[in-house]
Amino acid sequence: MENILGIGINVTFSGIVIVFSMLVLLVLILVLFGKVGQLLKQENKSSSNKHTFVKIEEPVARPQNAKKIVSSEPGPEIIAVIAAAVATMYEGSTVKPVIKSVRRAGVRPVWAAAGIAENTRPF
Amino acid sequence: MFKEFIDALGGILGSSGFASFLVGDGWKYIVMIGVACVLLYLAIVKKFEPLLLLPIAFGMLLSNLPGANMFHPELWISNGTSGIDYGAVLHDGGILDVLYLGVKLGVYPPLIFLGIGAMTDFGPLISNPKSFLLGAAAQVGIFTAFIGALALGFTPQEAGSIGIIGGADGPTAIFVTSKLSPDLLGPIAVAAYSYMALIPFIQKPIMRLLTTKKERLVRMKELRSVSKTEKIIFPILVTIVVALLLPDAAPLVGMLMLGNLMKESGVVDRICKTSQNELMNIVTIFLGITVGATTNAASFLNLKTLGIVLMGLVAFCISTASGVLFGKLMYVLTKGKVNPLIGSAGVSAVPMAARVSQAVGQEEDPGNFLLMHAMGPNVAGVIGSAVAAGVLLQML
Repeated sequence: MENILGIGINVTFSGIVIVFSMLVLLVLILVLFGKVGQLLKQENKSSSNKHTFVKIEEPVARPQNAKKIVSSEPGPEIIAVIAAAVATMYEGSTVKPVIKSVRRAGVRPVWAAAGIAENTRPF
Repeated sequence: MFKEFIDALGGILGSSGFASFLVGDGWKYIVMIGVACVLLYLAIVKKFEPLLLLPIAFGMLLSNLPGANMFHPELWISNGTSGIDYGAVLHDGGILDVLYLGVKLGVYPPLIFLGIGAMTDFGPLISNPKSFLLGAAAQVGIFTAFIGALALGFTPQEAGSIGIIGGADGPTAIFVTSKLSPDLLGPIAVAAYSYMALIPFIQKPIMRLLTTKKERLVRMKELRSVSKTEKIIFPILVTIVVALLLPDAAPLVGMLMLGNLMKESGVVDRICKTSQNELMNIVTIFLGITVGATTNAASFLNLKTLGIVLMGLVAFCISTASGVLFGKLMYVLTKGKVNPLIGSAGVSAVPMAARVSQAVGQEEDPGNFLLMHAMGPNVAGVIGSAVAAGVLLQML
């Protein structure tokens, strides 16, 4: 009985230690591997920067409404499309919808969020 | 004339399988046929791991039909120093005996690992190497159940085979059992695959019990993208390190990584697709049906099977708990950046365990996507359980 217990403790202790050491070793190798990869990437970037000719462009006059174009607010076309979609939904109904404001729902686009939810639905 | 007819009918009935049900332990065949039908029901109606449970259950049915002679357990008994008479197996064996050679010689599990490797993306593990630790922590159940099985009176070899159920990896469990204690192959394979099918039911309560709401709500940082070069070097590196340090794990880890290299290199698309589909499916059929065939009445209906089922469950629960507890430790050490729920995915049932982490995380926060984070420990668990198998094979 003592012998069996000895085997049990020996195998359990050695087993846990060996499994952990083996996987810790793999962690270290992978971390090192990742760092070398990053260094090589940076070196490649800096060497490619050295050999790149800087192209000097003629200054171009900035259009006055440039700020509006890059703005994250939805433009008039988008608002028109949303209004049309809402109107189609209420077609034939006695309710007359009024759009008071249009704003982005979140950082992640709604279709992207729907796609992720669909692909990661667990069961 | 009538008497002759009755005699002939009696003769046919006497030599039929039905007559065997009434002789000696014949009732055990009826019980086993019932068990096979229950497993078929679970596979077909409840869809519990049907790809494996269905052939296993049907193999069980075939080998417990008296007189069918498709599998002969007596041919697989080792004759002292001369070992198994493989000539007799080929000469006198049935179709299932011939197919069983692949299990006995340890051919099928590594081939399944080849297919798994060809389907696995190690990207999440490469981008977050610390996941390996969760894959290691979830192997603790294997060794705890080993001690438990010894305490129940099993031999060290049998206890090792029972403990490996905690790795939640069917092919690994079959590989280890076929080497250490082939007599227990049937009950261990059935227990391993049954618990894998029951993962959502077993893991969820343990995960909820061991974590707080605050921990379950943790949203983890997006994983970095992994380059193709990293993905190609990874399988080569792991094979060299693991096979050199633990040669007994080489068949499983080597084939897993070969499959993965075929996938990531992108230069052998045809054989990669074959490994993922045709080869994997063919081996799954052979493995399932022959493992099922080993569950004959004499070896299955005894107290040992009860012990295996009990200790297998203990191994599974402890593996899940140790993974979650290690996840909690990482949560503390990283100041709340790791969600402990991904720890339970360290058991290697891919991708079921990762999906459970995702499901439990989304119960608290529907916008939390833990799946990719849980895939890291999940694939680390495959490597971890193969390493644990190597340790058991080497030490026992």
